[in-house]
Amino acid sequence: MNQTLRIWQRGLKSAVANRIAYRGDFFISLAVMLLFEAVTPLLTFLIYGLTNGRGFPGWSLFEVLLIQSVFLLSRGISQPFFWGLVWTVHQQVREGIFELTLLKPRSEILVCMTMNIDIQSFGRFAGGLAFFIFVLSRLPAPGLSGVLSFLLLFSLSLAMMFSLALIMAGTLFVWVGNSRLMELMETLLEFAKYPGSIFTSVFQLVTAVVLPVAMVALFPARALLGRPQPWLWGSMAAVCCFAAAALGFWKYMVKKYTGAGG
Amino acid sequence: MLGAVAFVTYKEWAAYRSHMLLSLFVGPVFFLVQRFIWTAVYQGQDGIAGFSLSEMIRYYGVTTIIYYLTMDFADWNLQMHIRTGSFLTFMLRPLHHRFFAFSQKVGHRVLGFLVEFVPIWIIFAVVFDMVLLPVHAGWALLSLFLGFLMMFYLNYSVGIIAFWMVRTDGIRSLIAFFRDVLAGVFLPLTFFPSPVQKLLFFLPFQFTTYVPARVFLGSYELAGMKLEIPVIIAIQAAAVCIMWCIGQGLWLLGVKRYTGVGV
Repeated sequence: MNQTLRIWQRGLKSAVANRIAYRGDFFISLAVMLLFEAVTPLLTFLIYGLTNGRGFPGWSLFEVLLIQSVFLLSRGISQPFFWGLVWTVHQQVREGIFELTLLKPRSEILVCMTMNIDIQSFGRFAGGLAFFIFVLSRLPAPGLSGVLSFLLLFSLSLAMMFSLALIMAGTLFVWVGNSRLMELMETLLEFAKYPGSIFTSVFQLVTAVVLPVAMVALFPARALLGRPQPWLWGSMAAVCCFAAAALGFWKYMVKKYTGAGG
Repeated sequence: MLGAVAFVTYKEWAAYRSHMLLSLFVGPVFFLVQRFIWTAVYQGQDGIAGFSLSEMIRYYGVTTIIYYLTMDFADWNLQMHIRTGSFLTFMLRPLHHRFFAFSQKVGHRVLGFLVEFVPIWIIFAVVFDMVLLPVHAGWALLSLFLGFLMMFYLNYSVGIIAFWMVRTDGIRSLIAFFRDVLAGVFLPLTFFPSPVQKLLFFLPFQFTTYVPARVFLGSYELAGMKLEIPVIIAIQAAAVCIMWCIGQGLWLLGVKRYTGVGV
């Protein structure tokens, strides 16, 4: 455990040193990232403004913003900690040096994650947290059971994000150098940013139990709001199965990797 | 020369056509999400900011396919050459780098037309029952071509910043963000507050996406002004010329600063 923490610490130090070398660029990139993240909430504000508060039927403005703030929070944690895996594999497989990672006496997942920590995304987490607190303060306070359910479901949200990272990284062993895979993930996650009720029942079912992206933000947010949770148990089971499948897929793809010496 | 560079670029990128094929998923799924959002929002509403639901959905469909015709990464390419020093080799060629980059864009987008635009157009027609045909084909093609040029000159001018800065990732992303928001990619520009719309009319961004999309759909309106299609296309052409002049001015200033060692 200590050694794992030390690896994270080293990874963080190296990421900070690397990124801070061009401070101006770092701060501009940080601002742009936050602006991009603000697009969905701003669009939601605009929609509610233009429709005189009607917006998405059955959902108030701040309830929708709660979903989006939970989404941002989940991304703010998963992006710096998990997504280094995708970038490291992307880079190392393309250059044929992934065996260097395999030779290291630590889990290849841990090594890959800590080699490319995106420190910029801590800004996303900070922004997400501030946004989450602000939105929550505008809604009725949740009860203890709501908070506990939220914590449980939010951990599943992180598990879902980690599983997506594993699948993306695993895919890069065969789809070498495809940086557009991130776009694919971003597109899938579009379904996680809005109330499920705007989708048809088929899509609600698909996003809850087939590809459970609804667990990323919708279910945790509903727990805080004390709203009914259709397909909750199915979705929780689906996330567990998805995580197990993602891990299996990653292991299978690592075994398939062939290199010609780094 | 344009044909030769375009053909080589086409062949080069055709090797990665599976990467481009991802657009067949990304484009329609993003569109699908927008369709869900706006269908829910329009419940009980006839129109918002001058758009009916069907117009809104068609707007998103058109902007999606227009993107696959006009997009480029001339800014990334130019800054990469300047930063790594490989730009020096272009200084020695009897060909302006801008023309070379433009030819590359032509080749890249010809491939994009075949691998992205056509299949997505068919997906929209078959899956979403939305046959996207321009109201005035000639004007729409002209506006698309001008949008193609505007996107290139705009991005190329952004790439020129690399003559002054070592790392341009942040500033390029910032400009790309405003370019997309202010071009109407996320939302039709008539959704913005009236004073903002007036400002947007004089910025180059609307000419990359919003104007071609509105011309494709057969009417143009911004900041309370309803303009005839030939008029807005004439304005678009003038804007492209102005953008070229700005790019040329930046180029002349920037290239003086360039130093390279070894070829």
